[in-house]
Amino acid sequence: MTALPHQSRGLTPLLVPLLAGGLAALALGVYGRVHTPTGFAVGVAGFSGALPMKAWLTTGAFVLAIVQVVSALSMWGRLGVTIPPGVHRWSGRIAFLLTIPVAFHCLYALGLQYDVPRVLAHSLLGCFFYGVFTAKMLALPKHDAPGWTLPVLGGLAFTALIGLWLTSSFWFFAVIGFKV
Amino acid sequence: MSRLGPVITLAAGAVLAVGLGVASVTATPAANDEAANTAAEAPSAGETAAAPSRSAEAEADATPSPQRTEPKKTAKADYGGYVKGNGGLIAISIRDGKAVGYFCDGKAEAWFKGSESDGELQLTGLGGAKVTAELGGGRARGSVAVGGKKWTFVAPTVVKPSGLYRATALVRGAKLRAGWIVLKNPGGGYTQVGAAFEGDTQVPIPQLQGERPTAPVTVGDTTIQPEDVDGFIEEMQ
Repeated sequence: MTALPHQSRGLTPLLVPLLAGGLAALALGVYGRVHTPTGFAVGVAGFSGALPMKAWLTTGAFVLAIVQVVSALSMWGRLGVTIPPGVHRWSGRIAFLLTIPVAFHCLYALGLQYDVPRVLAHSLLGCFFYGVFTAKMLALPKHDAPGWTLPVLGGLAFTALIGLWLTSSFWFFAVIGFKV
Repeated sequence: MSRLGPVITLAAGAVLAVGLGVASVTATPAANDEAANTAAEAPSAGETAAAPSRSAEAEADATPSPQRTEPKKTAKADYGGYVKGNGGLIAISIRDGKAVGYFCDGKAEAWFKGSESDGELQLTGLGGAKVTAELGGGRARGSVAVGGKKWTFVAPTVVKPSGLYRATALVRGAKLRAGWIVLKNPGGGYTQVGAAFEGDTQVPIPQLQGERPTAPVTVGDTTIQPEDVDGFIEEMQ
């Protein structure tokens, strides 16, 4: 939002966002582990299968995540170019919504898995991503939060998403190929 | 707006997820089989291929079992994949804990039979040939030993038309037998290997139709009818 220097008053304002984020990550992980995967989930139409759908939606979110970082740098005055804040908001919203069918298919149809390192990393990063994202969203309106809050939470969300892309879409394109 | 915007974003995500959930629950009973098909479309893709094996476990759970203490047997599962360092294919099918397997690289072949219990698979074949595998995460992972050599493999679950096929016939007093493994390629089309023998002599094997592997094919001048696993698994035991 604004790049005004915040009056740092400790971590108290972050308590609720961080707690909520932690609970969100935990809830997703527990759900993925406890609920019996169905092997089937409704997804976005137009793809030949669930895997290509997920690979491409995640790639969309990946591209928008780069827009997020660039537009955030601009908002914080690090680029010397002014990008309208709307670009940051809407690229973020769209990126988030793009990930929902992916995460839904992962958790509902497949569940949290840990038998292969890649899948384990992907599962954990997925839960972490939504936790950090929740914390970041809830921290946004808290203007009394420490100044590092948004860059750190946003950076973590970005990093998690890149990790998610590397362990899914990149793997898919490398192993299976460019399949729509 | 600026205060509520982030919350609305989160809520929109949650609503979308719930919507997908409702749609999936509604669609599941009718579309179960097709769904398993779509989910396993890429047999070599670990993630999605993980799905059908789970439904197999669900089936196992669904069968009325008065004694929960009995070792859990897989009701139905089919696996297919490449044998590492060999280039051959391996296919394994399980029906109610009974299992058959087939390894073929186009030249050598081996049939296996055995059993599955609690995700552990033990199969034996002729001449000390052996398959040992563990089931889990939508794949069979283990080793295959044939002719004094041993390789490892990871075979994801597959759905028809991928899988294991066999045909037998009597031709001029000699037994004609053929086996195939069909795997759907992630990029479309099918990979298949097989071997056919007339008596003890290996004969050229015809390709099965990718979409309809059980359609009749001709070996030499004999028309044979390939069977899928359900057609011969009992006979092999």
